[in-house]
Amino acid sequence: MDTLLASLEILARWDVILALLSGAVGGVIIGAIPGVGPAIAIAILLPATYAMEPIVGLTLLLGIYGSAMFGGAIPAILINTPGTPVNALTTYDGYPMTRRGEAPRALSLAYGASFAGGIFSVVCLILLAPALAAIAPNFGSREIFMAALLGMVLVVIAHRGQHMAAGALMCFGVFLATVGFHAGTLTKRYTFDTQMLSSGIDLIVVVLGLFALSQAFYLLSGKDERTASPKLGKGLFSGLREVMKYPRVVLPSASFGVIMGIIPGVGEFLAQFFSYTLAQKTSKKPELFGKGSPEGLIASESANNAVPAAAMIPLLALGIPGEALTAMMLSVFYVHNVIPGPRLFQSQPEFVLALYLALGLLNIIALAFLLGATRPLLKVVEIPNRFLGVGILILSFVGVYSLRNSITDCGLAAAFGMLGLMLRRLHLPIVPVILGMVLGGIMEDKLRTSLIRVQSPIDFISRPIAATIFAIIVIAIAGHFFSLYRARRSARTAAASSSSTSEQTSA
Amino acid sequence: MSDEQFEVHDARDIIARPHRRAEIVYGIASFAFAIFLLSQIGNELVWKAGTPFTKQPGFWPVIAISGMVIFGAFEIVSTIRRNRRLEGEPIAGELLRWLKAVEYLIWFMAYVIAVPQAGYLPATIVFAAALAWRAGYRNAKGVLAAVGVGILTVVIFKSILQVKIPGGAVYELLPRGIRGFMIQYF
Repeated sequence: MDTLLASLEILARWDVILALLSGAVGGVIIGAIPGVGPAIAIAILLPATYAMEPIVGLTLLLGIYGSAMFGGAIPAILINTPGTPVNALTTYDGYPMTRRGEAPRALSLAYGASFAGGIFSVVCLILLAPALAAIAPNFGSREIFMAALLGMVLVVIAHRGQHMAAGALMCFGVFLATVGFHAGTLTKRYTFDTQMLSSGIDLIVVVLGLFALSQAFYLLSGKDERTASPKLGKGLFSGLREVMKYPRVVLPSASFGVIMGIIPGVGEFLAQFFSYTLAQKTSKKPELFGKGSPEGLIASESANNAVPAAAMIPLLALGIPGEALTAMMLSVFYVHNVIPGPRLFQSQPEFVLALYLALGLLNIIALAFLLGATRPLLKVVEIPNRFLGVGILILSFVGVYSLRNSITDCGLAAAFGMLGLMLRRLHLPIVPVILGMVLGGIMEDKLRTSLIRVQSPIDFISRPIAATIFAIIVIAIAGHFFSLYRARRSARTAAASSSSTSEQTSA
Repeated sequence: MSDEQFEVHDARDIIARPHRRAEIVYGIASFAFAIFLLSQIGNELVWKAGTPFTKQPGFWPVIAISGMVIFGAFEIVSTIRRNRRLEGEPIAGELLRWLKAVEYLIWFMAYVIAVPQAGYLPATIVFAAALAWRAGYRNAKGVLAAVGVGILTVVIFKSILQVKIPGGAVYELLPRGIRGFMIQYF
């Protein structure tokens, strides 16, 4: 009870409330603009939050992270263009509903499902907190090393059809984290005798380059896509109650979101895929999926919005970010000397609880804002691509230059911007670079600490938690190879049966 | 969180992305870069005599670079296979698109160099107006909107949030009272 009161006291400050409001409202607006997205906004705002207190900065960033997907549903449903990449599946059922003249119903279903997913996730987070507080202190260097390794393995596995590219990019990220003067061994690594590289490559420079500048280059070098002005009829509240009629869809989907959010390196896409597939399999009208099924829309939105709160679990409990946005938030903790991890739960439980409550509140603010402001928001959906590119370029400058007023940093960020552009154009993932950089740094640090205590490699997995995580890694890799084998075999069978069918037809 | 918008025709599309033939160019370039890094292990890393390999300062970079080389080699092989199997846009067209983006990299760097000289606010106004013009918004509405975004950015970040951006060299020419004000807020 004391912890709850202390956390409420933290949240009751005017600067925290302001950060929460501007984060939640700003997140919805950013999410509603196709081509921006929360990653870019967080990357740009990150250096500015360094001057704020941790709770203020984190609340602002959490607000953007947690509410962007609410807003992203608007263009996905109305103009068939997802506001954020994770709203892509929402277009699949949302847009057909708009074409049937059911746009308000589709939007309110999306809002209701997002809200249900978000709140479900926060409740899980609060219920899991005591268990986490009990387990987290058992995580030593070896366990955290193993958990980070698990994250890396899952990042590669999760990129279906792009494992090699994802693996190479993740290793590139690990390499980037090693560049510069290494305080542990007092040596320089890959500095090429330059001052510029001696201080290392800052995560923010890489993040801003890969996410923000690359998107600006991408938009500016492309063309403005003319979209029809979205129109909206009456009945924006109609779907809110309807969501409650589908607990069979909401609960499993939100659960998938929570599970996938907790597992480092997996994220929204797999959560959506699993929840959507399950919803379709258990539906009485599976034929409607992809043609405007309310269940499909609910599955997609409740799964993706359950991820942000759950993604905070590995970050807060172990100090391990599961995806790019939490990796960025980790740097806010570090700047303020607040080290997320096992000790945080014991030393500052009120801080942790305040973050959880902030996550719940931002869902309420986002929903209330959307119900009142969806119509004015339709204007931001129409902002032309190239104009957005101009804006992102101006904002990216603040992010990079304000770090240490270095033109070299800006040049480096621009180079990463070009790399990000190539990756975007080739549909290759950017996230593994960021996770490789963050997890690689954590792993090297924990490995060095562990090596003092271990005599042989087997000592790494001699403790129960480390052994369990190692077993999960082995199972994940074995399971992945098995699924690849099965997919190849079924493809061969399908090819053989189609060729025999065509032979019979021609005969 | 991923990073690209794409059209969804099937739920599986969200976890399996379309292939582009120009991936081979990227694959070869990144592999060559990895090989270059590998060739520099002797020069760029310190190896301490009598220290086990796992405790060497170069252990972790070697792991990372080895991963880049191994995954990079397989990436090339898998891209060649996919390019044989799948149709797609010509590679040259994609390379041109990358080159086109270099122009905006130059714009960005010009802005970066201009700020310490001309000052944050003046440089941002000129940059926003010029880039909006270049991007095709050649009317008062487009240019003024871009300038508005620029001014708003300066006011939010420099005037209100007080992010660290030094005053421009040109501010030294201003009268003392205005100079201090401009350095602090714009």
